[in-house]
Amino acid sequence: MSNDSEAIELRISDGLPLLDRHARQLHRRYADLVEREELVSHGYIGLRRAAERFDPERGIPFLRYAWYRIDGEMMRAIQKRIALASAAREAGRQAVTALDDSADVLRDDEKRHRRRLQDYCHAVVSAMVAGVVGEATARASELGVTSDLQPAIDALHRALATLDPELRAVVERHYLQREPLRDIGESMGVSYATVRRRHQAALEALGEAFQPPEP
Amino acid sequence: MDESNEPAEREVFASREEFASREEFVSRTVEETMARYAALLPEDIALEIRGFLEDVLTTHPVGATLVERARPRVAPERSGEVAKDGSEESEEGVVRRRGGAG
Repeated sequence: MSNDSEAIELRISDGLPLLDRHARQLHRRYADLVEREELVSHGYIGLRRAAERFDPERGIPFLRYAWYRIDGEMMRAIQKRIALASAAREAGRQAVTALDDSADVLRDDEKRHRRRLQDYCHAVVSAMVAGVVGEATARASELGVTSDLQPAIDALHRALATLDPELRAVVERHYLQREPLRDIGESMGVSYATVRRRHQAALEALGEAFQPPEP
Repeated sequence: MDESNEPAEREVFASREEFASREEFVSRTVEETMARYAALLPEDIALEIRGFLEDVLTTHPVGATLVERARPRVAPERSGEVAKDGSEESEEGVVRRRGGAG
C-alpha cells in the first residue's frame, strides 16, 4: 500500500478502534487530569502522523507502529496537565507564604473580615493563574499549544498592566520568568525583606485587578 | 456502652456540627472566588486551583484563621446555662427558671 491520501485514510480508519480503546484505558487512570475527548483528540494527531509516515517496507504491522505514536501523543496531553497542575500549586504555595501576615489584624468588624478573606483568596488564585501561564509559556515547545489558556493569558496581562511598575516587575519576573525572589531583589538593588514586601503587595494588587473578560 | 464515654462523644458530635457549617462557608467562599476565573481557565486547571484554595482555607493556619473570623455566627436560640457534661441545662438553671429557691 502506498502513502497516497486514500491509503492514509484507510490506515486511520483501521486505527480508530485502537485509538478509542487506548483513550478509554488511559482515561481510567488519569480521569482527574484529562477528559477522554482530549485524549482522543491528541491520540488522533498521533494516529494521523503514524498513517502518514508508515513505511510498509519495514515489515512492522501498522497498528503496532500506530500504537507507539498514539500513546506518545496521549501521554503528552497528560504530562501537560500534570505540569500545569504542579505549577499552579507551586505558585499557590508561594502566594500563601507571601501573604503570611494576612491574619495579623485581630479586631475588625465582620464585613472587613470577609473583605480580607476575599482579597486573600483572589491574591492566591491570581498568583496560581500567573504560575500556570508562566509554566505554559516557558515550556511551550515541550507542552504544545496553549490556546486553551489564551483567555487566562490575556486577563493576566490586562491585570498586570494596571499594576505599579515595581510590583508588576516582581510578578512578571517571579511567576512568568520564574526568577527566585532573592535574585530579583539583588538585581533591583533592594534587600530580600523589601522584595518580599513588594511580592505581597503585588499579589494583593493583582488579585484586585484580575477581572474576567467583558461579556 | 461505658457511661464514662458519654461526655467525650457529645464533645465530638458538637465539633462535627460546627465543622459542617465551616465547610459550607469555605465551599461558598471558594465558589464566589472561582466565579471570576471560570471563563478563563480549562476545567481541569480550574479544578486544581479550586482544590488548592479549599485546602488552604481548611488547613493552612492563616487561611483557616481568616475563615474563622469571617464566618457568620449563628445566634443561639436562647440563653441559659449549659452543664459541663453537655446536657441542655443544669438542674440549678431549671430550678431558677421555675422560680424556685436554690
